[in-house]
Amino acid sequence: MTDPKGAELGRFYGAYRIADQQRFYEARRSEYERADGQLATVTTLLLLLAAAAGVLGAAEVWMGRAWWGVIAAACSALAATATSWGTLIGFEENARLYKAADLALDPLRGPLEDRPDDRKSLLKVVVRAEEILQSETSQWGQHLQRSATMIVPPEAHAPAPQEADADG
Amino acid sequence: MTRQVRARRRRRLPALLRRLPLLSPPTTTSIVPTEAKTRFGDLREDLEFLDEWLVPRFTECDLKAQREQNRHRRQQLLLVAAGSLGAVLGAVQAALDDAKWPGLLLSLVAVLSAVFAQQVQHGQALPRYLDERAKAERLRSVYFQYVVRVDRYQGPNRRQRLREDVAALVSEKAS
Repeated sequence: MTDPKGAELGRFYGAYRIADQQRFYEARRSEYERADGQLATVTTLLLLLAAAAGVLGAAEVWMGRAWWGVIAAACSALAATATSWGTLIGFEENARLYKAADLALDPLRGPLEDRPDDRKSLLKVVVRAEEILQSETSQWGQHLQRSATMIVPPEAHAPAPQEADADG
Repeated sequence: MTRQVRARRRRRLPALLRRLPLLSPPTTTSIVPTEAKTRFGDLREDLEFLDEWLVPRFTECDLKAQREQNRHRRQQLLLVAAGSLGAVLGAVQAALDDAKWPGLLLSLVAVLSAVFAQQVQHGQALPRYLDERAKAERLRSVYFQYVVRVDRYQGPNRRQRLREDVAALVSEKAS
């Protein structure tokens, strides 16, 4: 079995563990931030429509008050569904989480580029990077449980990953 | 439809809808691209060993996690949609004084939602999703730790140790 040089190991880890993961975080963060903005627009529009239906219903324009009430209820229900979808995925919270993890990984690329042959610093980078990634997974799991608890009763849920997993 | 075509189509959708279960079917992902073996020739032996012992387990956990994730999202969306439908039917009933069907339909939706909520609780899609995702991420972590030869994966028994670790991880159950 060949014994690879430290520099090769460092380059491998830097390219496929750190840089790849950062690309993933960046893509997801950008998608979730856009989704969060779209969600706010859609929800606002639906609630404005519901409010308009309420006003038109009071004045009984074009149709009866009761039918305007149905339209207002439908718009509000759609707004509630859209908001629940946003809570379920956690667009805003996860975008923040991905940004934090991405930023935390940044300084770890330095030692791999500056001292590619230094095995000690490679191992330090590996330990720190795996801690950061494990912590991101745990926080993401906690968020998921919280968001689901808002929709269905809490007894349906299991422990978060960091509770299920003793070591990383 | 290939994975690339699906991914391209998904990118064209509004970001808000991209994660809908219907639009994001499970796809197999790799830990490192195949070109890694040619780019890092000295690591080829390790990468091939991992392809044989770890990657198939990772793929299995990853696919299971994606399936359970979609199931969980589908269930939650259905429950929310049922609630919204109930609100609309209530308003329709108020609008139609003489009709009985909106009220009956509302009762039906409410009963079906209650039964479905019970099924969701017993179905355990969320715990399974979290469990499989955690396993997949830990297998990914072990993959890299093995390649860079952290203390645990040094010495003559490193392959055996990896086999044992992978087996322990895969058979582990969330407590």
